[in-house]
Amino acid sequence: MSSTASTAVGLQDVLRRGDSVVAVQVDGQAVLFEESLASLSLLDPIATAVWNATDGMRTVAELCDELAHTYSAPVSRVQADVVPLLARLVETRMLCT
Amino acid sequence: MTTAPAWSAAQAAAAVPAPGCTAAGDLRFSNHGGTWAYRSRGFRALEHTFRIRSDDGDCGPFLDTVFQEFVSEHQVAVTYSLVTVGSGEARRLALYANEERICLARTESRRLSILLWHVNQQVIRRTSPYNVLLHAAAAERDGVCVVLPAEMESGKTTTVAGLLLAGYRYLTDEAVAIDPESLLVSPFPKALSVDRGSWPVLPELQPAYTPVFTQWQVPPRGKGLRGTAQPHRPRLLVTPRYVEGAPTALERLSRGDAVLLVAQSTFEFAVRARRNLTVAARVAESCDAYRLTIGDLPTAVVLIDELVDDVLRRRS
Repeated sequence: MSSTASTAVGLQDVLRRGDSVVAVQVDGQAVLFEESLASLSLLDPIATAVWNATDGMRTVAELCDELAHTYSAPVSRVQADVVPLLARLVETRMLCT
Repeated sequence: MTTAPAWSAAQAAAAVPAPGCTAAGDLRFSNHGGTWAYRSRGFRALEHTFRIRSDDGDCGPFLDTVFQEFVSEHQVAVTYSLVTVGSGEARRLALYANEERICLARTESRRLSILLWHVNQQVIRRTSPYNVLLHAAAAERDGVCVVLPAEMESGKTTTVAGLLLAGYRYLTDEAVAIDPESLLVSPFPKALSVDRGSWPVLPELQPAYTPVFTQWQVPPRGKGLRGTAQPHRPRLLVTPRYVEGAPTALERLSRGDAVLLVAQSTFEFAVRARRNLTVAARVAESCDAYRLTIGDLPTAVVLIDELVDDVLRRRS
């Protein structure tokens, strides 16, 4: 996976999990398999929290607000970390709009 | 986030065609009208059932030895026929699986190596629907099952051979078959295929007869080896990698890394991704997982032995 995401994700987007993703979690880490790309990904605990919070209902902005509250972090900082991560997950079809 | 191509090593091993193989079905087996100098008993290796016959009896003792752990009264699905075709300069050694010609070789070494390759491929193809099949070696001591998943040429066979010489019982050096419900590993006790590069560190395993020039085929019984283990659940995952001159060392893996390791080692992972990933997670949750860099085999065996002792201590 490219470290530089080219897929744009906006704060008003609503993301949901990809239809062809199989996911398991162990010790707070998600392992995802995307069938169409045949790619496996291991998410760190923070990325796993983002994955778990992505429910297809909330906007990215709402999701970041919740994570900022959970981790007692500034929303701007959370957005700066989470938006590129979401873009990578969209790029690899783990998430979709 | 770590991303890796799925099932890289396992898939590559399953997909590689045997050099010299013809496309299946282009030449049918109909050219042997003679008698068979050798007929094997029936064999069952996981879900692959087969027998072998040859118009040359010389290979019989070798084949009986190599497949001795698979003797079965089960009805067989595949009959391998070894047939000599032509004479003089045009003499070739054919191998058929039922009616389909698998190869036309110039030497017996080549034909036998392709036969062994074909048996492994069929085991994988026929067993994958029913078991999660890892590209891995495995052995057991005192009820602790050690699974050694790794890519080709990483040292799986050498490592498991070292464990067998240290008193472990054998499960496989090629494909670990895990029942998706019980997680029990069924033995696939093929003869160990010891590559030439490992011969100097395993001299006690040298067979009396080596018709496949590039590998020793060592049955897991005799020469101080204790034979095949009963089915066990995996308890240790150790992925070995031989690095010449490197210090032999263990590195603990997270359970997430262990899931990736199992998933990437699963033959035909994507075909049954949901089942396979679920089993990978269950295996990872029930195992301690390590990366083992191997500079020398005796130290590697001691380190694995200590891991097994540690599991046994915690169990008691």
